[in-house]
Amino acid sequence: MPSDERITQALEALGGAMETFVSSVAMSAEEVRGILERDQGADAKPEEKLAHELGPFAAGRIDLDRLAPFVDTDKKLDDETRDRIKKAYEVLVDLKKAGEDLFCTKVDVDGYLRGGIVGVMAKAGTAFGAARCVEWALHDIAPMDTAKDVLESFPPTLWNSAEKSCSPPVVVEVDGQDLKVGSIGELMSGNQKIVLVVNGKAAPAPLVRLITPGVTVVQTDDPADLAALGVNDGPGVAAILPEGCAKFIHSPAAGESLAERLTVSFLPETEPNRPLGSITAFQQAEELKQLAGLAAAQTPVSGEAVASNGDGPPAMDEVGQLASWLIHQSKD
Amino acid sequence: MSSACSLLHLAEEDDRVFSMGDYEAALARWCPGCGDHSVLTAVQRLLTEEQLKPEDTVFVSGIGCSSRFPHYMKTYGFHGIHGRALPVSTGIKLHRPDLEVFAVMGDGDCVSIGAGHWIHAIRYNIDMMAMLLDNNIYGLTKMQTSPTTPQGTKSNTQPQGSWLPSMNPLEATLGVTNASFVAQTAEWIPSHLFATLKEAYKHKGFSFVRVLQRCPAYLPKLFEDAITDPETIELLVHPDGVEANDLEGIYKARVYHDPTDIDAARRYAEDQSKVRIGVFFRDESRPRYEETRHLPTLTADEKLAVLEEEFDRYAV
Amino acid sequence: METKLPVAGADVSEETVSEEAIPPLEKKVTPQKLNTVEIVSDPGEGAQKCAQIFGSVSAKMGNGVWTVEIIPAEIQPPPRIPAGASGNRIRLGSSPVTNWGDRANVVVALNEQVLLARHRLNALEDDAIVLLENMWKDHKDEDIRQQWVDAMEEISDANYRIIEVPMEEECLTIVDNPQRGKNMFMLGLLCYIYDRDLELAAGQIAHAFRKKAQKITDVNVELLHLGFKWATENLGFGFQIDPTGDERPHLVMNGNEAIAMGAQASGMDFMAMYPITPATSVSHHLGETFLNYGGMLHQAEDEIAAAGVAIGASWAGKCAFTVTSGPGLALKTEFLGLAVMTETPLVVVDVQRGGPSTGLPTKVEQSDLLAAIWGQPGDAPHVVMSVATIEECFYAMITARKIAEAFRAVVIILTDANLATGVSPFPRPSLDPSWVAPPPDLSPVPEGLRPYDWDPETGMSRRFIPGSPGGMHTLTGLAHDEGSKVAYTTDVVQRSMNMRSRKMAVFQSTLQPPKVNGPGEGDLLVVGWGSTKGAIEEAVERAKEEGLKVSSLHLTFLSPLEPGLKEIFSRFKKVLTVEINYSDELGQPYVTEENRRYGQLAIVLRAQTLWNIDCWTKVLGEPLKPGDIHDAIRQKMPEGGAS
Repeated sequence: MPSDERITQALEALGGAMETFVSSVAMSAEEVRGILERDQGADAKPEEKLAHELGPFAAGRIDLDRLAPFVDTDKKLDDETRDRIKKAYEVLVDLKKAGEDLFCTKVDVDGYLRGGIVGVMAKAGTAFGAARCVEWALHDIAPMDTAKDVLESFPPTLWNSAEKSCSPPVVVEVDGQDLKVGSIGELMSGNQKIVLVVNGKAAPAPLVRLITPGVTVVQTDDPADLAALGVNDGPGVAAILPEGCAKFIHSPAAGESLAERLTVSFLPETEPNRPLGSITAFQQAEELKQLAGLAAAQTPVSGEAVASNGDGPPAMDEVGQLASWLIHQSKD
Repeated sequence: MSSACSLLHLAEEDDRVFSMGDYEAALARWCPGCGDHSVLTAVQRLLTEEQLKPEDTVFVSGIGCSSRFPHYMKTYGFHGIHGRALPVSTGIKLHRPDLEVFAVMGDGDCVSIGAGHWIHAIRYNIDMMAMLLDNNIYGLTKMQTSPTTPQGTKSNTQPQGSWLPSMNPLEATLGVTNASFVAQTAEWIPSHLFATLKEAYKHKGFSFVRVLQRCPAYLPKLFEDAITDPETIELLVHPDGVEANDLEGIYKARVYHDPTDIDAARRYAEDQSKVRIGVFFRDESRPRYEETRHLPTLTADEKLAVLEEEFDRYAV
Repeated sequence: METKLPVAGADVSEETVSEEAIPPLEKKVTPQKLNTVEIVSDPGEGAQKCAQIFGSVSAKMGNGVWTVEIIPAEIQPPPRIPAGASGNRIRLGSSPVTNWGDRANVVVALNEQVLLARHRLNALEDDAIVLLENMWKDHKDEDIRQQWVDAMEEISDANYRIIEVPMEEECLTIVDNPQRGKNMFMLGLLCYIYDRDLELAAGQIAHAFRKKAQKITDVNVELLHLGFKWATENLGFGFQIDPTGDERPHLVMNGNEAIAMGAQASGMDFMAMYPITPATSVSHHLGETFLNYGGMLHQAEDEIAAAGVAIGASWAGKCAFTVTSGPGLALKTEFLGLAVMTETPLVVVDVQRGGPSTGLPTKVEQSDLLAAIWGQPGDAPHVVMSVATIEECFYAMITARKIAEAFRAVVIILTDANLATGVSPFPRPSLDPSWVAPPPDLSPVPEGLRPYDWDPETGMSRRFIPGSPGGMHTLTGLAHDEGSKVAYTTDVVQRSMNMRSRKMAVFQSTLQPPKVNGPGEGDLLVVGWGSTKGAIEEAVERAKEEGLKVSSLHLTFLSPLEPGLKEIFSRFKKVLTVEINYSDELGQPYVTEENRRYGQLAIVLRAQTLWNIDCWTKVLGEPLKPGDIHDAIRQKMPEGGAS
C-alpha cells in the first residue's frame, strides 16, 4: 500500500515533535511518581518504604526504624488526593506507552476532517488533562465537573496557550473529497503540526487558504518536502497530495515578506472542472487562482527585497497584504 | 523545535510580570566605580526585557570580585570555586535544559585557572551565556597580574611590570573549534553593553561576551584613553550583530562587519591598534552539545526494562 | 611430531580399540571443592576470550567462579617475552568463589616464556599441571630452541607436571593460521579436564562471535572439538567440581559493570567522568547502555571538570555521580569540599589502584582510604563506604544515591582494581522501581523557609532546587548562614560546621553494628574492608580448621564508622587489620613503636576506638591471597593463642 509508506514518511517527518511530546509525557509521569513517592501515604510504613528505596545493601547495615524519621517528609496527602493523583499518573503512563498510534487517525470517506484531527488531539491531550488533575489535587482545587472526562478526552478548545505550545502532532489519512481545510485553520496555533495524507483524487490547491504569516504550509507529493515542518517553530500543516496537484512550501522562517516565505514549485495548468464530492469545481478553481496569484506576485517583490538588502527589512509587505486579503475573500 | 518539558506547570497560566526590582537581591558591594555595577544593571535590564522567570534562571560564578555577581541577583545562583564556573554551568544546563544559565567569570577565573574549561565549553557549545568581566587584574586578592594584564603593568606579584604580553581572550575564543558566538563590549557604554548581552542571550549556543571594564581600585587608568577619547574605539556594526545606532554621534569609527565572516572576525580580534566592540562572530549552525547528546526521556519502568535487557546479556 | 606424555592414571592395558582410531584413555577424575586454572599467552592470541567462555560455561553449569585478568606489563610487548604474559586466572568452586585464590592448579600456556612469567610470580602450585604448546621446542630458530631449554631449566626447581601439547600442529589440520584458533583448542582441553558441557561451550562461542559470520563460529566450534578430542585421547585425567546447588538465575560481570548497572537501577542518569584506569570501564559500559536508558554520560575535559559537572547536575536535579581512581580523586578534592560545603548530594566512585602518583594503574591497592575520608582541606564531613563483592558494587549504588539525597551529602564509594576486573556470578537482582530516583521536588518553597534551615538537632534541611518558585538563593562555597548568605561571624562559622558534621552523627546513629564472621570472641579478630573480604574469610576458615580461635570482621561504612566496634574488639585478645596498603613492620630498620606507620584502616580504627590495633598489609600490586593471609594469621596470633 502506497498510503502506508506515506504515513511512515509523515511519521518520520514528525518524529521530533512526537518525541518531544512523548518525552514531556514521560517527564510529567516521572514527576508525578515523585509526588506519590515522596508522600508516605496514609497508612504506609515509612521503614518499609525505605527498605525498598535503599535496596538489599542496606539490610543488616542500616537500621530503618532509626533512619525513617530523618527522611520522612511532613507532606501527607489524604487518600482522596492520592487517588486523584494516581489516576492521572496512570493516564500519563499509558500515553507514554501508546506509541505512534496515539498520533494517527484515519477519516472515513465522507467523514469530518476536523473531527478526526480533534479526536487525536483530545486523546493525546489527556496528558494535559492529567497534569491539570494533579495540580488541582495538590492545590486542593475542586475538580472541574469535567475532571473525570479530562482524563478521557481533553480537546484543544480547552487547552491554554502553554499547553498549545506542547501540542501533540497529528497524522491524518483523509480522502481527497473530504479535504476541507477551512475547518482546521483555527487549530493551527501554538506548536501544532499536522500532516494530511490524502487518498484518491484531490483538489489542486486545497491548502492555499491556510497560508497565514506564522503558519508553515506544505502542499506536495514529495514527502521530502515535509522537512519544512521541522525547520519552523510554531504551527505547521502539510498535505501529501496525489501527483498533479500544486506544490508549494510556505515557510515562515524563510523571511519576513510573503515573497521570501512562499515557494511554489508546481502549478497545474488545467483548471479543475469537476466537483469532488461536495467541493465544487468553482471552489477548486478559486483556490488554484489564489495560489497562482501569490506565485505570480513572487518574482518582482523578491527582486526588490534583494535590492533593499542591507537597509533593514522592507518597510511594507504588499504581497503579504495581498495574500491576507485573498484569504479573507475566500473564507466560507 | 521546542524541547520536552514537564506538563505539570502548564495548567496554571503564569501571568506574573517582572520588573527590574524582581531581579535585585542584596545591594551590590563592589567598589564605587567598579565596572561590575554596570554589568549587573544591564543584566537585570535584560532579564526584565526577556521576562525570565527568576526561579528558572541561574547565575554561576567562580571566585573573584565579579564572581559575587549571583549574590546580587534574585535568581538561583551558584558561587562555586575559582576557575570552575563553566563545568558547573555545563552540569546544570545538561541536566536541566529548561533552565537559563549565565556564567559570570573574571579574567583570572576564565583566562587563567579555568582556561581549560573555557576552551572546552566553547567546543561543547551548550546553549548558555558566558560573560568574561575583564578588568585585566586580580582585584579581590589585591592586585596581582592576570593573563590579560597589559605587559609592563606593575602589580604585587610582578612589581617590575608584568613580564609577558597579555593574552587576547577574543583571539583565543575565535580560535577554538565550534565557537558560535563571540562578542566584546565595554561597561562604560551601557547601551552597547545591553545590546550585546541581548544578542548573546538570543543566540542559540554558547555565547561568549568579553566585557571590558575598569578597576578603579587597582588599574584606574586602564581604559582612560578609551573612555575619554571615543576615537580609540571602533564599533563593529551589523544587523545581525549590534547596530548601536544611538551611538553614532559619539563613536564615529564604525565598521560594517558581517558576524558570519570568521576570518574577518579573527583579523579584527588580533589587531590591537583599536579597541573594538561588537559582535565578532555568530553562527547558529554550529552543533550544540545538548542537541547532539539529546535522548528521549523514559519512565522508571521503562528504564528498568532497559536494564533487564542488559541483564539478559550477562545472564547465565 | 610425536608427543610423549607423562600422563598419570592412564591405564593403557585396558585399551580395547581398533588400530585406526587412537583409543580414548580411561579418565581418572578427582573431585575437588576448589580448583584454579590459568590460561596464558602473548597478547592477541585470544587467551582472554577462551577464559571468558570457560568462565561463563562454568557459571552456567552452576559452579562458583572468579575470573581475573592477567594483564601484560607492557602495552604492546614483542612476542614470547615474560612481560607479555596475558590471559586469565579462573577459580572454580563447588560453592561461591569470592577471590582469586592462591596458586593455580592447572595452567595452559601458549609458550614457555609466558609460563616462565607465571612461575617467577609464584603463581603456580608446586604440583601444578602445565599444558604447554610444544612447537617452540623444535623450532627452526636456534635462539627459540635455546630459550625453551633455558626456561625448562629455570622451572625445573618446581615439581610441575608438564604436558607438551602439539597445539599448532593439531590446529593446522583445520585452520591456516593457528594463532587465531589455538584459544578454542585450549578451551577444548579445559572442557575435557573439567568435564564441561560441549554444547554449552559451543553456544557461548556462537554468542561471542555473534557479530561475525557463521563460518567463524563453525571453525571455532570445530577447534573446540579438536581440543576436546585430543585431550580425550591423550590426557586421561580430570577434575570434578560439583555445582553450588544454587538454582537461581545468575548474572556474570565485573565490578565496574555492576557499578554501571547499579547506577541505572538507582535512577542516577547523569554521570561525568574523565578516563582513568581502572575506573574507565564503567563509562565504557554506560557509553553504550545510557543511550537506551536515556542517561547522560559526559566525558569532561579533565577530572576537575568531571566533578564540577556532576555537582552542577546534582544541584540542579537528582543526584549525579562521577567515577574516578586515586589520581583523579586528588584532583577532585576542591570540588568535593564545595559539595560538602553547599550540601549538594553527590556519589563518587573511587576505583582504587596502586599509588602514589601514577603508581600502578592496572593493579589493586586500598590506599585511598585516608584521602577519601580526610583528603579535603578544611572540615568536610561526608560518607565513605566500601564494597566487598561484585554483587555489592551493584547494590551499593542504590543505597549510596539514597543516602546522598537524604542527607544532602557526598558519598564516596571505595572499590578497587580487584573488583573492577574480577568477574564472578551473582544472583540476578529483581529490580524494584522504588530504587529509581524520581525527579526532584520543584514545588514552590513556602515563604519563610531558608536554603539551609538546619534542624538544630540533626543538621538536616530541605534542598532548594532551581525551578522551585520562591527558593531563589545563591549557593556559595564561602562560609554561610541558614539563608546561604556569606557570613564570617564567629557564631555562624561554628554553627554551620556543627550542622554539617551533625548530619554524619545522625547518619552514624542509623547504622547497625557489623556482624562478626565466626565466634564473637577469641584470640584474634581480623578486620578488613573492601575487596579483601573473600580472601580474608577463606584464610580465617583455614585457620579455624587448624583450631585457631580466629574470627573476622568486615567493615562497609568507614566514615562515619559503624557502631559497636570497641565492644566487639574487647572480646578478642588481639585485633589485626588486613589491608592492601602500605605499613611498616616492626623489626625493619629504624622502625619503632613510635614511628611505625600503620595500615590505613588501622589508623582510622586506632584513632576512633583508642584500641591497640595491629595491622598486616601488603602492597604487591595484586590481590591478597588467602594463603598469605593465613600465614599472617598464624604469625600474628597473640601469645597464648593456639598455633
